[in-house]
Amino acid sequence: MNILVIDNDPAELERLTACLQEKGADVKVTAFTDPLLAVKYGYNNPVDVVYAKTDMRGLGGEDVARLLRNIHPDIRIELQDT
Amino acid sequence: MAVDDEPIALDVLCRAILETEPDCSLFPFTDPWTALEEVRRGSFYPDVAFLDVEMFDMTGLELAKRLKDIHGGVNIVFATGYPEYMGEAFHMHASGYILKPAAPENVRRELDDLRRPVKRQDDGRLRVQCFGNFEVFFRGRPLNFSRSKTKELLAYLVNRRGAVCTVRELAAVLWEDKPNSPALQSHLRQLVKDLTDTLAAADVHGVLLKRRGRLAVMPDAFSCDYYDFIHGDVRMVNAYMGEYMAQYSWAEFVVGYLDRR
Repeated sequence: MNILVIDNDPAELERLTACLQEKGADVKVTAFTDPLLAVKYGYNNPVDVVYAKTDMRGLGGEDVARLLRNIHPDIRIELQDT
Repeated sequence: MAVDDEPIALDVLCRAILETEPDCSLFPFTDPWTALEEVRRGSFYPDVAFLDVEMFDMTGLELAKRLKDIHGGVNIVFATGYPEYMGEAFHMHASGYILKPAAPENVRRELDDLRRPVKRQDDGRLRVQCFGNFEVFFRGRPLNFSRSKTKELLAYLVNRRGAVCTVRELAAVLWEDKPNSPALQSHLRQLVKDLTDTLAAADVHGVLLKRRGRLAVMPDAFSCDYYDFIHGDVRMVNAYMGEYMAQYSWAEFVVGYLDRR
């Protein structure tokens, strides 16, 4: 399973990444503080699930979701309001 | 852009280009390092780069690779006297090549067959670049801002994507160390006037929306790489290299615990 994690706060990002990575050996977590880079990654790589915040600098969670759904129609998006 | 470290050859090349494409904005260089720096700085966007292959300080191939590191979609056209020596590496990076001395018909041939066709950006609109450094172009040339703060003001408004900003908010961003005061607000009004004048002087219209104490940009009035990205333009998504309005600290995406509002 390919998981994409986005959070502008590096400490938060690290925490969430570690937490998700624990879920299994077949879980691949890719993390970004930059939502634009995350979208670029999603445009060029397989992604199954996205964890992000609704409010983010650069690009909000809703926009990220919309863009990635164009490429991965079955993608699951988990947005958190801060 | 055209790069050849021999001035005479560069002149021949430029003449050939201008004869076949008189309306283009041509940026010639004899020094590849300067050429690279100008592109990196965002002085212009190179739709097509005519590069001499046999240069002393940096070969055309090296320059091509470095240019593509900055803008993946640049069309590279090599100019060479020895096409038989152009190996696979050249063909990998190039849209095509022309023989030296450059002839207009060969330039024309290459421009008509670019690997990445240039979308006619002469839609008459201002062109705003947010990726890398924040830069603004009109008709191929950088817009002339007499004050850097004016440019920064426009950058912030672009960043807000058409959201209306109050004078208070703008003053807080542009002068983050200074507490709000009538003097500061007056200073901001001067900047707004300067911005309006700058755009008007360049014959650019419809970009700013002004209301009492409020300001916004009109997103449809200009083309913008960031906005194209948000609309899902694949080229812009892939062109993004992780730098957004690099000159401005408020544009930084990364926040720490103490930064959180």
